Amino acid sequence: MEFREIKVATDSADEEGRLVLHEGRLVAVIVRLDDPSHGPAKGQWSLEAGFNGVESTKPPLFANLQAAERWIELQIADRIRV
Amino acid sequence: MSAAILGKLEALHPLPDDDRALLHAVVGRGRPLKAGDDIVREGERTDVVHVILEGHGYRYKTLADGKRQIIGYLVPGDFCDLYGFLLDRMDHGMAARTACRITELSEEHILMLTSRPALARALWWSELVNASILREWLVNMGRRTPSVRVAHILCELLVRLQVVGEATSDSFRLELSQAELGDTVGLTTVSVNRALQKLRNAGLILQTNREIAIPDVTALKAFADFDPSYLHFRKDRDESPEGRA
Repeated sequence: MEFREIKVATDSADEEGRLVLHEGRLVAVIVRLDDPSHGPAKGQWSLEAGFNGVESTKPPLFANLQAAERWIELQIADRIRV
Repeated sequence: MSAAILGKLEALHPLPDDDRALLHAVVGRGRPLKAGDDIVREGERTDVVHVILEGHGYRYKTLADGKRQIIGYLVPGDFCDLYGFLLDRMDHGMAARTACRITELSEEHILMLTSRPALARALWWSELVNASILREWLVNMGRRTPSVRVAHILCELLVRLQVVGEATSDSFRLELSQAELGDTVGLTTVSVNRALQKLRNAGLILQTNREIAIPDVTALKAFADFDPSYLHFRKDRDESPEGRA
């Protein structure tokens, strides 16, 4: 999985993002929650968009990029099994 | 204890004094519930009708993976499960969001109330409005952007709470967490937080903890695409200038 740095326009301080690519294809956009309004969630990574099985109506927050990678891998594995 | 129910029903249909007295006698003092208590669990049978006298609650459905969708808010004066005794089991659950006081009416009570034409009409109205709110929420979730969705819910709460004397003309106490708002409008807590932030930055709401103040109610309603006619309150039907807020 590849993580490419990208700035995301969220109209907030949350702009440090990553394009997440799997086998060269975009599967997710994640953003670090830097806006103080997030309170205890600040500093964690949030799934902003997911594609082809990585979409979720209630995704978890990720403590770091490794945690995000593990979760995204699981979604992709689940998709293949279906 | 019946003030909220009278406020709610009379906002929909006028009631003669005899009907008001009967309702007052039937409602009684109710019983207290703690925040988080179930009013009726999903899948349970209920042979009584629950009415909220004080406090706030919500209707919900739970998915197999534990996710929850909030499908309605219950505020003072709301009948939670009118005619629910007809069902074998409830298709959704109802829970107390805050400490509540609720009363339980039997089928006989409901028959007594509905044998009186004005009360029957008021209760029919209230069920029509429940269905109308659900339709509006469906539109809200399916077709409005996150900040408009959240703004619409805030407008609805303002108007519904005004009718039962729990909101001023431009402020109320929001008894919902961001997670619960998210479960209501199908957004993540992060998105709800950003939506509220957007409303604050635009000056459409002022928020201090749970207190929501709306500097320009007309502006928020316009932003939210909020038309109160789906709530069918008499003051909007009659277009009289003042409500009972």
